[in-house]
Amino acid sequence: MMSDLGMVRFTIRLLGRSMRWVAPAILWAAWVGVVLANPGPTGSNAVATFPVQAIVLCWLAVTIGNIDDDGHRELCTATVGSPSRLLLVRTAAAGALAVMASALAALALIEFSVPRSLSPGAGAATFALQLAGCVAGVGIGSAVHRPTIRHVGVTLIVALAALLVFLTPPPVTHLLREVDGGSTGAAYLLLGIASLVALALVGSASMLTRRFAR
Amino acid sequence: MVVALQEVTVRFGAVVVLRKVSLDITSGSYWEVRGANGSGKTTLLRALAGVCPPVSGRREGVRSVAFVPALLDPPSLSVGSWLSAVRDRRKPVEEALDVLGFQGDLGRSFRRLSFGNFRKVLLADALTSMSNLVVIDEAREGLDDAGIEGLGELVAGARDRGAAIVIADQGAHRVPDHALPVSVLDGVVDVRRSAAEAPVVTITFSGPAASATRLERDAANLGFNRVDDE
Repeated sequence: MMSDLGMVRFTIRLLGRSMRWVAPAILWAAWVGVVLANPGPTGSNAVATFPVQAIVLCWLAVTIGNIDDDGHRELCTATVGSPSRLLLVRTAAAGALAVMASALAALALIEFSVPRSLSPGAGAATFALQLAGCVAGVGIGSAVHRPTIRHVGVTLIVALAALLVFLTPPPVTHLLREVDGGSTGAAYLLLGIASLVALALVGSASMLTRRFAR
Repeated sequence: MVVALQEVTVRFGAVVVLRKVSLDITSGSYWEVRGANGSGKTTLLRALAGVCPPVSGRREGVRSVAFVPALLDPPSLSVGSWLSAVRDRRKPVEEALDVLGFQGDLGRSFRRLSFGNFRKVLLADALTSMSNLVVIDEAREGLDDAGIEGLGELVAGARDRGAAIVIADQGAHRVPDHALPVSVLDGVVDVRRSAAEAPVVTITFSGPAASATRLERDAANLGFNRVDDE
């Protein structure tokens, strides 16, 4: 029988063929392009692209969760074993995209930063900050897609609200200012916070899907 | 035991679809689920497949199930891509497709296949899977004669390797001798342990009470017993 890894691979392939990744990819490219058109130090660039990482990965996670109809989802659910396991597999697929998007963004930010002197520690912190945004986005997106929330409109509203709640409170904005000022520790702290938020959201969604029939 | 349901109740909102269903599916067994539209057949299959979490009771047994739902939107991938990406075992499925009389190109997208050929791919995939439980809803839906004949052959092959098969099929007019029929009536499951048991003939009628009483008396004179429903 198919392994969970096979289902992750299949999910990414299905997303690729569906072309539903195009709109979030355009948003990502436009945002990063605007930042890089007038680049600053790597830390400032990384802070400027942090929100788009969260937004785009949230969008992609919702797209991955809603990529098929109920019948196809049931086929996939039976294959992996349960609705909650399918949710975790699809979160893992979004997580794989998150790592790719973070690496791509970090490389671009480092390459175009002004001035172009960069320590390995600062490079890793840039990647960590991009990953923090992506992980938060994946966590939010994976918690609000089907079958947790069936209606796309409701998903959109809840996802936007959750992104606002994550991106705007003082602890997060304070840490972003720290990163902007050159602190690498703040980037890792943000990654830790984002990971905890994502774990809590995905865990709750997994419990919900285990409990309620659709 | 491949999978067992213990006192499983499934509810959608206020509607109870399955009530305290207990079933024990053993290796190599073959089950046909029968019942009227809306009686809960599909939900029973979904519960067996682990797709539908019960509100009470437990499902125990295999984790991974080869499940063919009655309705699904074909994915945009090609058949070959599905087989190589998902299953890692293309050859057995191709052989099963030959048995089912599949007429199509494996390089084409699922969406470009006819409905019947799409169903044949799903059936071939399920019946050649390594899972010990194969659950198929509306098994003969969309199949031509060659497909129906091939389906029997594949079911026999899957049972030979120890897989339990559970099928719901509104189009089946006769339960095969080796099948264990499961009847679903308003969410309550009745399992006949042996196909050799005498069948129950259910007559449903509506009309004035006097007619019902007369019909009941005539039936009793013919030697039939009355089975009361709730």
